[in-house]
Amino acid sequence: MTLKKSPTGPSRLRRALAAVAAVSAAAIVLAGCSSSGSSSSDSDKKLTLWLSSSAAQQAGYDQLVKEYKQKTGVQVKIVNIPYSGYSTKLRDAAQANALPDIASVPALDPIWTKKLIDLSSIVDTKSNKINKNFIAKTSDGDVLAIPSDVTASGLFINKSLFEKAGVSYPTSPDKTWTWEEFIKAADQVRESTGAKYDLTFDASPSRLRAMVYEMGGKYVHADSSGTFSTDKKTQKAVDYFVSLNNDTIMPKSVWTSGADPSALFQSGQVVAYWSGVWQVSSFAESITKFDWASVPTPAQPVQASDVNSGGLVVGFNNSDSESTAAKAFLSWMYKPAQYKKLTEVNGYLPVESGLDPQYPFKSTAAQDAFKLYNDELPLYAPISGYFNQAQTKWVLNGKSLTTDPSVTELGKAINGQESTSEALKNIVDGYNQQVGK
Amino acid sequence: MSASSDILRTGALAAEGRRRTPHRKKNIASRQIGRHLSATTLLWVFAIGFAFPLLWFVLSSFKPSGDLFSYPLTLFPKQWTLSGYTTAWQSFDFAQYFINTIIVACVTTVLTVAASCASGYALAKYQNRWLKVFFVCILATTMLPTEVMLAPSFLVIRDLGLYNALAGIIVPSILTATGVLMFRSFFLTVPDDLVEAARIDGARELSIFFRIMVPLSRPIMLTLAIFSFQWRWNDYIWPLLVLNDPSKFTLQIGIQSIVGAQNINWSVLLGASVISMIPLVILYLVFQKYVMGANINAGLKD
Repeated sequence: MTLKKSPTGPSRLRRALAAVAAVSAAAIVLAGCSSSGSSSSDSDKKLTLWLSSSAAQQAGYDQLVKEYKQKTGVQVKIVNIPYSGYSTKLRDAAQANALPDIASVPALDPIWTKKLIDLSSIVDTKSNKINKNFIAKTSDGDVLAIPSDVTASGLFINKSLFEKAGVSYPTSPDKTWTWEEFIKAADQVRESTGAKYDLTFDASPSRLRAMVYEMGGKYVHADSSGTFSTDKKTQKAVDYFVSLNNDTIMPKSVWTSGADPSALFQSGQVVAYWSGVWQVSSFAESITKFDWASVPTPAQPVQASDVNSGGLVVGFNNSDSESTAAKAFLSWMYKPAQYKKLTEVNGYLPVESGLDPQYPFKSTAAQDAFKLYNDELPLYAPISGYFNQAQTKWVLNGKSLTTDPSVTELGKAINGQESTSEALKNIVDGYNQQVGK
Repeated sequence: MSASSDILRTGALAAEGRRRTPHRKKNIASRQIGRHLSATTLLWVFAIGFAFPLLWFVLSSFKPSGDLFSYPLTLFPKQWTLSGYTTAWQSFDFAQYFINTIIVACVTTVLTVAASCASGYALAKYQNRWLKVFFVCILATTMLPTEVMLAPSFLVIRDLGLYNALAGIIVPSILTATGVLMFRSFFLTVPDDLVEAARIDGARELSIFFRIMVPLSRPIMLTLAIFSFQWRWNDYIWPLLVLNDPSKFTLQIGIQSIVGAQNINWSVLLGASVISMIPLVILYLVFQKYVMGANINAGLKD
């Protein structure tokens, strides 16, 4: 078949192939050169900042960086990295000696904690009023990370359904309800409006911790020797939580098979949603079919939540001049004037007190929600920050809780595959194994 | 079964059989229609099964974000909007990511096809002990999942100075076992006589390869090219690890960064995903004939 072909065909093809190969080889060489050439020069005037956030929450940093450039001439380049893969990328970058100068990371990693610079001077500056409960501090007193913001679990309700049913709900943290009162109210709303469920509950250990704290428990807690256990009130609270997953009050599918609780709530068929402050800015845009509101977290009787640091801001020690420049930028960023702007644009709950940020949301529900969160934070019991501090401690000891067994084990309990006490025992074992003594 | 017993019975009862003949013909014809009908129906059912989620996905990308989860769910947007697309295009350096991805996918594809064709030919047509060892080595690469090789490949790329360069994602993906195996099995079907005849006519080894073998293997080349393009277009974790500079990011990194830790901006994600599909759809329309052939080999590992 091919023998009949004219002789010009193959040779033309051959020439084309050779040309393509030559061009692509040249392209590779060029690409290789250009990268190695540009990275080494002008390093003292340029800093790199890695973060992982939505485009909306990058805006605050963009604004700061622009201002910093005008003021000092130092350019800070922001790289927004996808959340899935961020921790792997940081590890590999540490291996390749290609860490950024500044980063906002989801968690500290024992692999690169030794390369961090000490930020204690920023925390010790009195005028910054940084809440010291959230910083990551070593036993030598070095501050390795300052949160970019604070996050807390919180309750959202479908206000339209509540109004339709004529059921009242608390609006101020001093007069909040208990979990049982809340479920009773939600039951009434569901029955009179024909909604599908009372509540969706994020399949997240953090949300469960918040509920347990509010019911007086300590969830999985380490004693002074570093061994984990649970208390009676935790047992009771978790029992209560599992019993709520009955496909009437809460859909079983969220904790057992990964249904999206946020999407369910946004469909307007669910009376309330137990999630956290980060939903506010997205709900402000994505919920248009009904009115929603943030309501005070239930207290039975403890006023608490699971309060975490949103992102941990760290500086890496790449070279003397670069780390000095990085620290200068961070010192400037955490000054109240700059930090206030950052929290306002990004919709952050501030880690510094006394700021009174004015958020730019048009939605009054979002404005009210932020006001509520800012009012509630100081009222929360100290237990609210336990996990965040414990996590830092584990990392500084070279351990980390890579997989929290809570969701898997309680999923089994909800499915009836094991009892709640068995599930709790397995969770405690998991903690002891990964981060215990 | 029943048809053959019918025939037996018609043999025995000839008179009755004569009367039954038209009935039988009709029976067979209706059965055939039934058979065709059921096959076609089944095809349609599958086609709808595959197309429906895609259709919903594309239509949802035109919904405003408030409509995405509202109940009852609707297939068509009540209000058509392009806001997801415009936000996606504006919030990232999409055009730059697009160009980067096209460069990576095209260059890798050309090099992959060239390398696979040459090595597949050598493995099929030359007898040499070391070639066999080499073949086993190539086979061995298919036995490890990509994730396992991530860290060692990363160290190699770093030490070669390809970190944070597009070449760092092109070079490691040039040699794929699938490509080599595809060409090898194809060249095995080409009779050795062709090579020998050419040798007798005085052709050198290289011209046998370029003048005879390369043109022969054009269908396989296109098949692999389509595959390779698709693989590189959809690559995510490796480019994320190797590239540091946003000006070198590929499209998949950009899309993935829309998925946040706590919440996802669905309308932007949908818009961005539809945009990223367009080149592959165009590729499919242009090379439709070969894609059909390519998918016969689907399920192979890159």
